[in-house]
Amino acid sequence: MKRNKSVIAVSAIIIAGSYMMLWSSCNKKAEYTAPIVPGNEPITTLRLIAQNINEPSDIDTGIWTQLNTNGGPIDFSKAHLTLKTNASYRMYVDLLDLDFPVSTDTPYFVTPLIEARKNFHLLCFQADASFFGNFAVETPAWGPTTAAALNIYREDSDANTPPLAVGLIDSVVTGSDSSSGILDITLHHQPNVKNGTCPPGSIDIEATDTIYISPNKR
Amino acid sequence: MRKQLSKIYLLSAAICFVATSRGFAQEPDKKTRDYPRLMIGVTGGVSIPMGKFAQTIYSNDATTSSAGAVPTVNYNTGSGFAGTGGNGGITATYLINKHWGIAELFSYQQFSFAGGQNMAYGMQAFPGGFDVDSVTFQVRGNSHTFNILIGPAYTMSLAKKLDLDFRLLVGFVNANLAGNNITLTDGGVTDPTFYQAVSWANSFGGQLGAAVRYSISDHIGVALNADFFYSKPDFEVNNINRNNAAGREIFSYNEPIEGINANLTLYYMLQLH
Repeated sequence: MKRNKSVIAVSAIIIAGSYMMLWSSCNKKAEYTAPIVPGNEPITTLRLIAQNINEPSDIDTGIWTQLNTNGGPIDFSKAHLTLKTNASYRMYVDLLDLDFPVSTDTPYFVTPLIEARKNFHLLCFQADASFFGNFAVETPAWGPTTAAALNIYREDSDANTPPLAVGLIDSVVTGSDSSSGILDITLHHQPNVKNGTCPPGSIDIEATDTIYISPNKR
Repeated sequence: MRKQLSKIYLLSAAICFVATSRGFAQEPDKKTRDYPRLMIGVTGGVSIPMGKFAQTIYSNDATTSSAGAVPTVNYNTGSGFAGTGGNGGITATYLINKHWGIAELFSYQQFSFAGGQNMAYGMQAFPGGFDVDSVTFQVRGNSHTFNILIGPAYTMSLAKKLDLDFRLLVGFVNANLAGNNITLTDGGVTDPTFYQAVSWANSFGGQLGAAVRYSISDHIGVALNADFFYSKPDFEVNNINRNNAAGREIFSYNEPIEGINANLTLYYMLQLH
């Protein structure tokens, strides 16, 4: 009789225990974190290559470099482009890591990595009015041309639904007047927040190139 | 599903055939019992998921046609990320005669979430994820089922106070699939959380099992059960605030919820008439 009672008691405890386990797992908030992974590929260099659509021999290249991405000196010596007025250019944006090991002969091209990650990256262009106050840059949608000195149309798009622009390949249309100004180029990393506008996300690289627009380009 | 059930029916028929032949051979002490009898039990135990429902694989592989092309990631959309959980319920068996009866089960079954770290790492890395500095993955709700099942039961005596019970139960299953919240942080910027909502679906399901039952007294008994459970609900999955085509994202889930329940049942038995 005593043994019977023990068996009943033990069974009841085990069943009650399983119910409590169910209850506790009901109320447990499981959370997992993938910690910060250091060593994202740095981008030291942004290169703009502009080719006149109507005069293929009219090519210019602007190279902005900051080898030490932790606030090191910036090399502006080649960071300039000269474009003709009333002209259309195709502009390619190249991203490189020139801080490659000495043993390696070639720079590391980051552009293909950004191309592969285009669903959450966007290149933005705007005028830096701090030096040339009247220089205006627009990135209009396809079709309209504004009165800005520089109109930049992003030609490439991503695989989102609907597709959103990326900006690695662009069409640049210059205005009718001679002008000069500073073009601010930023690469935005927008994981799950890419919506076609520049503000969301973080900035992978911010570079500036001086743009000269002249009717008589030499 | 039909194929699976027909296999279950065949298996149970075979078990019943073997059991019947054994049962007839050793029943002298049960002749004094009167039927019909009713057994009402409280049951609880461990639920061990199996198959794709228990898989915790984020993606199988990724392929790319050329440098710069967007890699095609073969996400494992069948992974259910279900871990071992528990179940509890009320069961009753109405024994028409010394071998056959009708059993029913009202039960609740819940699974833990397994492989959450895989989801966090998968969402962080590239290809397969968003290529961000950090990901926080939080489980939303839980995967569970409510079951209302009924079916034939067969019992046979093993010894004076020891019985072997078999049952095949089928019926209604209401299932829930756990969701998740994902928060991405990159370059010191934490983006708004997006989530996979908890999903639910109704389905036809079943359970096949055996139990060893020990009669402590004329009215009280305790049983150790092992049951295979199966249902295949067709979940429609909603993703909220999911803006860009990156990372594992499912829009439906139609894999079997299957596994083993290992339970202890405390019975109260009474004679009806």
